[in-house]
Amino acid sequence: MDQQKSYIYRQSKDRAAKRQRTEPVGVDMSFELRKRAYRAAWAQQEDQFDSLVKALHDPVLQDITQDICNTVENATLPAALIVTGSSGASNDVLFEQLRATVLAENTASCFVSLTASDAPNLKTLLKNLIRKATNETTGFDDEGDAQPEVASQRRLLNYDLQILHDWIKSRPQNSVIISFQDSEAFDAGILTDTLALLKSWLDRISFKLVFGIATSLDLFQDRLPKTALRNESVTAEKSTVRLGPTLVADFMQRQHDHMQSVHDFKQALKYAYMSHFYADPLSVFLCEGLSREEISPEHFEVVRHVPSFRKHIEALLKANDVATARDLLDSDDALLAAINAQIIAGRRQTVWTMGACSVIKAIRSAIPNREAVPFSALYTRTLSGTLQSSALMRETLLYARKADSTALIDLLTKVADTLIVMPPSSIDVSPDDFSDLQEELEALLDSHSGPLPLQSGSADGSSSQPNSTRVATSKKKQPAQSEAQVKYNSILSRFHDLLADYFTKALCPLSAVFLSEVLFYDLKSPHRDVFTPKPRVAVERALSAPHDYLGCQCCSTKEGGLSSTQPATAILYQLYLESGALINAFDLWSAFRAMIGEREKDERSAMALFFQSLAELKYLGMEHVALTDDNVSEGVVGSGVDDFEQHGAFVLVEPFGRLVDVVICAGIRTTDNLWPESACCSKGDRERLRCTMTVTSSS
Amino acid sequence: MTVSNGAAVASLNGLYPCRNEQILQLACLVSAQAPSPPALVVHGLEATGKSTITKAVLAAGAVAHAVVQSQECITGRHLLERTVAECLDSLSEAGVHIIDRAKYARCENISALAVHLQNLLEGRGKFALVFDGIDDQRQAPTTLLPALARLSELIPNLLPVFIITSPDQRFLHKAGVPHIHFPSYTRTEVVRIVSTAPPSPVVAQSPSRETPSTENLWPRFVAAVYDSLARGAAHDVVSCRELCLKLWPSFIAPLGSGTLSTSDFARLMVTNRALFQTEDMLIDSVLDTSEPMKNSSVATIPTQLSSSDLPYYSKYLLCAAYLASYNPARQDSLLFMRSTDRKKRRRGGGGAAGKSGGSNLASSSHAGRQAKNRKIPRRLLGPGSFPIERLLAIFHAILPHRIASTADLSTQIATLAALRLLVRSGIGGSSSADMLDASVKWRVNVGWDYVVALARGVGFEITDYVLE
Repeated sequence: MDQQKSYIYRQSKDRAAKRQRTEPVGVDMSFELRKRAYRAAWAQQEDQFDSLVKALHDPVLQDITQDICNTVENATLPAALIVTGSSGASNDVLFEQLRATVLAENTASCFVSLTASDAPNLKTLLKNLIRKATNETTGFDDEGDAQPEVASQRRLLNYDLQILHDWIKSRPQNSVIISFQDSEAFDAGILTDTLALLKSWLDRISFKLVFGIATSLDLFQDRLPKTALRNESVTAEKSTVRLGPTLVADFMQRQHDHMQSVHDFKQALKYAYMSHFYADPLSVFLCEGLSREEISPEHFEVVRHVPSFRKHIEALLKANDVATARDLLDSDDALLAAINAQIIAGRRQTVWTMGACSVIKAIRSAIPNREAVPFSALYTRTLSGTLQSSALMRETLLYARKADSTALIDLLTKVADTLIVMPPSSIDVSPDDFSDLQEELEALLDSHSGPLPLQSGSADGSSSQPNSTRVATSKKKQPAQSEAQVKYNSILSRFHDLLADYFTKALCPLSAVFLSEVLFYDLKSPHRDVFTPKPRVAVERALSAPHDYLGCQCCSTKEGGLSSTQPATAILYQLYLESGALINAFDLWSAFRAMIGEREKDERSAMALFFQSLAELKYLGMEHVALTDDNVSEGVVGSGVDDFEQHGAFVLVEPFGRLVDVVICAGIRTTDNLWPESACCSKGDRERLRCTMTVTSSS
Repeated sequence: MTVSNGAAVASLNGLYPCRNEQILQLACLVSAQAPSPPALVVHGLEATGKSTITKAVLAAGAVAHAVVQSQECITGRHLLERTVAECLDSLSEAGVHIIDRAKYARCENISALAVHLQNLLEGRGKFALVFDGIDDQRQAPTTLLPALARLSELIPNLLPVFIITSPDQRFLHKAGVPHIHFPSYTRTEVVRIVSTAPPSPVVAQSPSRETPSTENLWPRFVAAVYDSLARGAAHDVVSCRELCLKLWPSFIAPLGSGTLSTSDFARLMVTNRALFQTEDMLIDSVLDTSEPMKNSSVATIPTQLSSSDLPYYSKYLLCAAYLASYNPARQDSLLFMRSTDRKKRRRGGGGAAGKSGGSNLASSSHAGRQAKNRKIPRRLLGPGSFPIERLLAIFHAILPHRIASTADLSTQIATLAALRLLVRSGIGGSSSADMLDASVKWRVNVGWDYVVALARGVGFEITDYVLE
């Protein structure tokens, strides 16, 4: 075997079977089922999402395509501007759609999409432009400096637009559409040059431009010189693409504060679905048509431990329904049946809640001088249970109490419409009540001959906040209310009561829904960890408490604080945090030496560790080194001068807000020079070799 | 000058008015019969008809010629190769059969060009090679112009013609080169030229009325536009014509509605006097403002766009970046430290100059001059650069609430950089440098108005934090 160059490894037959668990046990058994459920649920959600995005983009795309195809020939470069918003990722999707639409609409053109990375300079931009345009159909790619040109027997430089011209002539294509996806990211000079060049070729090649603008038109315009503007004419301006988050409310804050990207939103949503289905065994109950055998008994045990189950049982016991409660606790079959029923009921409850939210939103938007509350905010507040007793709710109901007849008709219609589409549920609010009211009101309005719209009667003492002055005046002027007024008031109060009743029943907080753990996914921390990492905090924590990450035995004995066993960089970092406004490099070094002394007896290796740690801190971005002129260092030396003179180094810390600026000035040539016992270099040397380190960190 | 030549010149004069002298000079110098000068320089400002007339004269004089547009050439080599290619095209158009085109494919330097041209033009008639806008050639070697001017010494039948805006003294390093100057058109000339091409009559609003003839209105309108607006802002023919065409539809709008007739030029002027007083039309814009708004959505666009669509924290970041750029770093503790007494904040640089100066003696002796210098508002100077740490510090200081520094913030800084709202400056400014390097300095790239609007959008009073 030794002489053989290679051999075939044959597995021996008598190998002991590996004792590994290949079969999942317990709640893991349902993983496949959950995976299936996830796929189904996500596919549905994704479809909805995509169609929404497409619906948002479509009108814009149609407009642009129309525009591009119908531009008339003139002396200026036709251009379309798309204001896309500041997210890069969704632009790709948009421009891909645009490309598809344009090509479908107008086959006689080719679409080239350029990004800023394609254009570090004019030459590369043109190369990329030509390559992308010609590659589109032929697919040939020549990286050499010249393209073989068969037709005219000549070789051209690969940034020569003549190539494009020849190519266009040989093809049915008659126009080239160039889109600048992120036009801000282009260097303004390059963009100007490009525009001038395209302009001069316009008599031979028909160019059309599409600019994606992420900020605003004014800024875009400011960056182009006047000559470039003159060369360009825009045939029509496009509406802003609104990137609308619509569905779940958890990410709204982040969406508003940090990102604005449909793409990111979708990712986050998908992650939520995945974590719910993959990590939570209970989500298996969301599968349709589960049978008893498919689910392991562990699942039922888990269900019996969730808080909402306990609440349910307690409610049953309160209602003296001991038999059902016992059944649920003892029999898996009964529990499964209950779960299936409850999940359907819970889903319906959710639909009701959302319906009620939309009604509230409609009423709110009818109230003058109040800014509209987004649907998502209402939804989150309902689920967390804070909406029901909030001032917003009181205000809304109060408005409903005082609405005039015109507004009331609208409201009634809206409520009735919402209620009709509601699925059957345990909530016994019937749309008929509202439509009856509506009919009654219409009848009243028909018979009423007085001035319209009818106002709510303010004399009605039951209104929660009676307007005293108005009561007084109306009593003086109208001692007796008209008949219509009285009737209208009764309708109003009935409407108010019905509405209040409806809201109480429909707005059901998350905690009240049985199996809310299954139906709702409401964990923040996985998302925070995945989508908003904190690199700086992590680094700082690792340095100040290395045990958290290392998990070693030696450091664990101490509760925080310094210990000689910690890594040198961590020690130095903590020393630096402890020090006050002014750090003396020599003090820093002696403190470090004292800490590390137990472990490193040799002074030189300790010194090496010291400098290594300093360098590492610098690499982590905690400090940066810059040469400063002597005046600055002399000016800020202050009390550090003596030490500097003695040891050739000083550190200065300038506190600023939550941030600390540290300047370490060290006249160090080699490590030896720092140490006073070894050779002390002349002052001139020190002056020359002085360098400044600035250590910056947030404390 | 021959008789046929005279006829050609006369027809050219008809086509291009007010350029008799230049046409005559050009025709003499480039005529196929006369001995040609070593080179020819045609110079004049923008829109004075240099290129057009040169080409027309060459075409009319039946001189073989090729025109190279410098604007279309990206590099010096590109220019040379284009030159050879244009010559080849021109010769093959003229019926000369070039056997081997591949031989002329490469032209790396000016010597190769000389060789190629020698081979091409040997034994042929006079050939004019026109370099249009050669003074704006990108990446041109310094020897390019003198070398091109001396080509005629090697090739006697070649006449290089340079079309440039303004010639330097001896920029060709060659004596005896005739220069033809195309001066800017005077008022009467501009009006005459623009008047020669009246726009097609605008269709009247009411189809029942016959279309009023606007031919006689146009020259008077052009003169009025020139006197009121164009003399200061659209001096040359091209921009003047554009301006006239922009204003024309609104000017004759009263004709369409039938309130005024074409004979009432004075009344038209009075009706439309706002047109000649406002200067909005002079400002070029990406959006074509002269076109009547097509629908309501278009009309609402400008208001929509003025408020930018940045995320909440990005707006604060941008405000912080502006403050970091326009406030001196040493005033940061004064402006942003919570413990600082607000009363200490000074407005106006004059007061600060006396105290913060290095030595009181020096500053008091030059107090007058210093105060004068410091009167320039910082906002009018360029933005200063700052390290990213300072930006973050100011950001945290101006935020109304605390926020953990997560990756989201870094992403937003990166986004702002990608949008060129923040730009890198200094040594680390090139794109190759690491963005995260602490030594990279940044600058804000938006103006005061934009930032104020932005800050107002998030309810942040930025004026409190700007030292004036």
